[in-house]
Amino acid sequence: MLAVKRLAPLLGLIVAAPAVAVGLGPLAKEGITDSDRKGFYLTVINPYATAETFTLTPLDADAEAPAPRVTTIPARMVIGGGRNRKVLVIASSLVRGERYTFRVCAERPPLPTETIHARVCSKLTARRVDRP
Amino acid sequence: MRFFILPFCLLSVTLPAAAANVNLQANLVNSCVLSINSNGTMTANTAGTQIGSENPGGSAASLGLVAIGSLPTVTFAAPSLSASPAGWTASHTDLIRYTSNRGANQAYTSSQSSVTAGGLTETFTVHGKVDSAAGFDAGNYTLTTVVTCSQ
Repeated sequence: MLAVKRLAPLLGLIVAAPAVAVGLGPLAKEGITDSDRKGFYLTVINPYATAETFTLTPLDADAEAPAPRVTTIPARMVIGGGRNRKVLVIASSLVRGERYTFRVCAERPPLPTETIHARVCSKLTARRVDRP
Repeated sequence: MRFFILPFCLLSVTLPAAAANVNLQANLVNSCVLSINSNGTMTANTAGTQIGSENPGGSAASLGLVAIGSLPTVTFAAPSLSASPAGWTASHTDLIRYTSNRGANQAYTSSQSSVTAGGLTETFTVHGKVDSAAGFDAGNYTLTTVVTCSQ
């Protein structure tokens, strides 16, 4: 009986959230620099018919840890429906001869009711040449 | 001078137009678009020890992938309950499984899993469930997984 009391509200549980979508490209890119910084351009895609807010998050190459040496400009943006936006990604503090790989992930800020949270990540590699 | 101009004008009018190519170009960037077509719904089983999308009245979530260039990897993070009633602290196991129209087939797992896209367009069907031998309190539960498209 207790179980039935507990279950009754659950039977009506319905998650009805708006669909989530996000796009990003290119998915991988590599570049060489002779300074301590390297910039990349990525394109964030809004597949919605209406304007939506998207965020960019720099992460380690193979983990969910943040990548503090990476800056995205902008980090948060509103993109019109069906439109794209180019964003600048800058990796900094590169030492001579270093090869630095990281990810930048685009996503729409999640809603609390969403069961699947979608994001698209681009893997970027900056290499600083080994010369004075 | 007029004798020279007149024949030239006639010539330009009567000659057929030269053939010309009309080109429509596209420069596509290797990219991925993920779309959640629908969030799933979960209901309780008759024993009261599980809520899941495959129980009567539940439904799967649907996820669409559109890639350009090369086949990306789709990663499903370990699922977790992102919302549950405040006083509910029972031990539980969170699981998802998924299939796709391109052949992906992952059995129920509580861990992270990955699959290489089977095509440049693919639709995933995602089921989820939460097992708890102690049962569930009344309230809202949201089972969440983060799906990442990458290369």
